[in-house]
Amino acid sequence: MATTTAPPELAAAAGTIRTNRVARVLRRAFVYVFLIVVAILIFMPSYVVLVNALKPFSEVHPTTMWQPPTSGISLESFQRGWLAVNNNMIASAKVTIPAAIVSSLLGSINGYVFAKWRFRYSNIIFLLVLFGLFLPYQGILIPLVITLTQIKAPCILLTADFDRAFEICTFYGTIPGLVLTHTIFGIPITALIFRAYFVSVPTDLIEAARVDGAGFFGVYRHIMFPIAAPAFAVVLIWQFTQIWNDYLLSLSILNNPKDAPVMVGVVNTSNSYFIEYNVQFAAALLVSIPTLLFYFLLGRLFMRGLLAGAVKG
Amino acid sequence: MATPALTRPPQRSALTRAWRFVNRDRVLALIVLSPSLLLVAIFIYGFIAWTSLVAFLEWNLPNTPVSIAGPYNGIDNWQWLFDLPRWYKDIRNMVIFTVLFLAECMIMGFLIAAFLDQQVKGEGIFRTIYIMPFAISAVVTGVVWQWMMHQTNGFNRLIDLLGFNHILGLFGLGPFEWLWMSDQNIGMVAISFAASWQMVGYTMALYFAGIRGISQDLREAAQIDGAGTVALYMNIIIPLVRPVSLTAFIILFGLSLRLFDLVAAIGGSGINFSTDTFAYHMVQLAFQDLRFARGAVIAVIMVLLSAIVVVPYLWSIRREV
Repeated sequence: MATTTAPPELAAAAGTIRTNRVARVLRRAFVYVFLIVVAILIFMPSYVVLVNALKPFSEVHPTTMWQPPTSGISLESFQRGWLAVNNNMIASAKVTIPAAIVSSLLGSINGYVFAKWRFRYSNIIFLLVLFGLFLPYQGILIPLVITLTQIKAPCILLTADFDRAFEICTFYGTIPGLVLTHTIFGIPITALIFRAYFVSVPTDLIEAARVDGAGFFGVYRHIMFPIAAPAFAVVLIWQFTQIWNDYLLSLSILNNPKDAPVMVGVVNTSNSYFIEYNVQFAAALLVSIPTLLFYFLLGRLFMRGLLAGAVKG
Repeated sequence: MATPALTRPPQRSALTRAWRFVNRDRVLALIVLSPSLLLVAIFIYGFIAWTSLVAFLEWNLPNTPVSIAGPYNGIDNWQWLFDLPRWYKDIRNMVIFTVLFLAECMIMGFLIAAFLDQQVKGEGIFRTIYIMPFAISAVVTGVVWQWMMHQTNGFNRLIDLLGFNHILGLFGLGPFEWLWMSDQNIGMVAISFAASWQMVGYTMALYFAGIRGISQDLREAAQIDGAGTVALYMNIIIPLVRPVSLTAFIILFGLSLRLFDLVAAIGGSGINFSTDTFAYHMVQLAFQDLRFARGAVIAVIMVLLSAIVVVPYLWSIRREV
């Protein structure tokens, strides 16, 4: 009724607005459909892991892998999975925590020097250090293993094995050997993140502190260290995640079944024909919990590490 | 006795002056930095040189200690590798994987970032889901994907359960029955899917940061000029995020060159070495067969390949870092 009385050009305009609105709604819908489909695809493996790890053993069968549990959930798989990897988790904690802390401290000092105490060729030297970020570890693995079998220390310091308290052990095959390795290969990334953070500290602030008599260490202790908490958090999370998730270096240096790190343990679990797939899933989930916790609880800091790892972030 | 007492103070002040002249703090900075530089010099550059020497050593028997004192055998180890059919499988696998992995991560990563940039509600939730696999290790990814790609119970069954095979049947196409890791032609494709699952969110995050970094004014100006969303992306955003693409390329290329954990967890070098990689082959030669010299040849090739890509990149950003 209204359209017949309205001038034709007005009706046409209303029509265009309506089609525009339809087009806009369709476009929004398309955007959301795309994002949701991608989210489902990416979440799918996690769904399969969760669903199967939570099934009671009576329901576990590979043919029903995609179905959710029908008769309630059970933690049996997790108990078995925990038995399979708990030693490895403890070993990994012993490697990861000291290595992450030492490499962050080292990185904060190195970043401080590279950011605020430039010297001749310091940029070129920094780039030479950065090359380490991209190094395939295969390139250094043979000399690394040879070297670690040649540097020695009293066993008591390396293995906490009191029976061999007065013997001499090699760094190879010990937790300190792996901590040392991770610390050294953490130098490039930690220096990069701390340097990027410290560069933004105003030079005036440092000049003022120096006028007040603060030296190299004074500036670090009274200015840089107190404001570096976010950078420390980023580096600690990043190093923790990288070292916890490492497989290659762990496999090459600490491969004895007693204290192999988690990822070595998980591969052994998954290659075993005697361990059911739901137990493998539960073990895989258990070993991912520490890094996933960091990711979900401290996502913002995790993201900053992720972008800093991209060199120019 | 009196003479030294007289001469000592001037000596001290000369030293102090010299000390001031070289700037105590600068020296301290270098002293503090030098252990790390020394470690990098030894453990990275020294070890690369050492590996390069090992690659020319004469291979004796397994278990014999490898000494860089020799004897050397020229290019025999290299000759051996380049006569080995498995090596050509490796090259083929690495090429297939690198191309697929880079394409999947960069195209999907950019698309997801672009879609996520459309003032979406729940942006944070989407981002959290997309990037989550990056917090999970490659080993766990491999263990899980091994089951996802199970011939009968994995994706093949899911596709059937969702009724896609029925739809395919309507077009006269057979049911979807990939053999995944058991198919020598598909093995590397399958591994690229698992690897991309892990890294697509990371690539998305790089692009997303890049897209968000483009000034709002520039976008508005383009929109006032009548550019639609597609035109805006083609003419403004894609050219402006080129540096991000370069960074993503460098990082993803490095990852594909190092591909090891995932392959080891999914099932090793596969049927007929159809999923063998440089990294996997190297570790097997050096640490399983204890043929250090032959393993070192692959190691040197890996370092060279990464240097070819990374050195020009680092040189190009030398003024920006």
